[in-house]
Amino acid sequence: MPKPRSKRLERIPVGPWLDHLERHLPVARLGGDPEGVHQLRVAAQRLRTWLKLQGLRVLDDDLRWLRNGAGDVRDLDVSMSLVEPGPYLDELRRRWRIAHGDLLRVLDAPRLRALLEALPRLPAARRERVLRATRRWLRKTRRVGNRLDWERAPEEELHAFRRRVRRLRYALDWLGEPRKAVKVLSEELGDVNDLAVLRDRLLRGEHLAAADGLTVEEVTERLARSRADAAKNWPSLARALHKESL
Amino acid sequence: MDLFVVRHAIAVPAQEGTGDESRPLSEEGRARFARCVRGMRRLGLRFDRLLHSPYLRAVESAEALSTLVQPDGVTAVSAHLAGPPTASLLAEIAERGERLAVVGHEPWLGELTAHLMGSTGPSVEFKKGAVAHLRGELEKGGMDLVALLPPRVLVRVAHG
Repeated sequence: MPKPRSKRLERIPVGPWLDHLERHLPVARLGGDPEGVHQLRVAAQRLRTWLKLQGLRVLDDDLRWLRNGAGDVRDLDVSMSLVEPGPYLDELRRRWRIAHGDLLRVLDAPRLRALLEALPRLPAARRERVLRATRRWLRKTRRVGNRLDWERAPEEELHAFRRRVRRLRYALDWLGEPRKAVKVLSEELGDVNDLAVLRDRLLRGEHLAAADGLTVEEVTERLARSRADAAKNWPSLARALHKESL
Repeated sequence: MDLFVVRHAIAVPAQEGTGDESRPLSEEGRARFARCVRGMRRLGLRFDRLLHSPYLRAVESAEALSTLVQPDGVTAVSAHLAGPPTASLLAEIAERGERLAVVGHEPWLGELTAHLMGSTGPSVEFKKGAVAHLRGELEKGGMDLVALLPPRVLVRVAHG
């Protein structure tokens, strides 16, 4: 994983995460290791953040196309890791082969080749500009978090907040200034999301090895507790976000 | 279909150690093209889609032009705009919506335009930052030239 960049750099080049993306393309192509597709998607999202920090629009849709093109394979990789052996797992494997075929078409597309040519030619981002944008995102994240009804908001709203926090985390990483509070918040929201996904899968009748014998009701209760914990922790995290200003 | 064929703005000259594909826009080119885009905006030009070459000067020109793309529109980089026009380029254009802008390079844009207008030779002079608006069917000879907007005209329109 690329290390955070030095604080002293006046310019922030796209290189490290572009290299990361390119290193994982052959792994994603082969398909045997789920990390290939996962890291491809992570790198694409981090590169989108780099563009957005500079207010750039071009190449963002191309990175989104790449990330979405690997989305089905990623979902199935995660599903297959949760499900017990049996007919349903066999069915997931069949669907995975189809999704992987679709991914190969994306990886072979001239559009990807053009994207990989265009990205390294972009000038490195000016640190001052990235800093200004990150400060704005930090303030906005605090405001949205303060308005959020952590225990009762629709899950889609929590998910949208989770995406916002992730984008902020990536921005801070690009600056070389990771923040513990943002990481903790990101992990908490990730736990809430994982429980919600687990509950939905159980509701669909999937036999999940990862459910550890839990019922839908038990997972739903855990989810509610997880949201209540996040609500309780938010004020101190918000204060930490304020104190750890850039 | 309405097709807007745009040549990239003025770029810095080729320098030793830097490939042609990595030449950025010059400061003059950037400023002038920003005025051209204001002129296009005043003329009501808007696009559903924007397709551009991966060369840096085309990427930067496309970025300036992207403010004219509809909010739900899409931009895409195309390897096919960094070479002579091919059937693959036409197929890519065809899948991209009714009002599409393509940003690329001479002499290939001239060849594309001539093909679509059914001309045997170059039919449009593409100065850097110029826009040719074509309308019709995306096939050989299927399009008419609605307007050719050289940069000096767009800049005048921008200044009102």
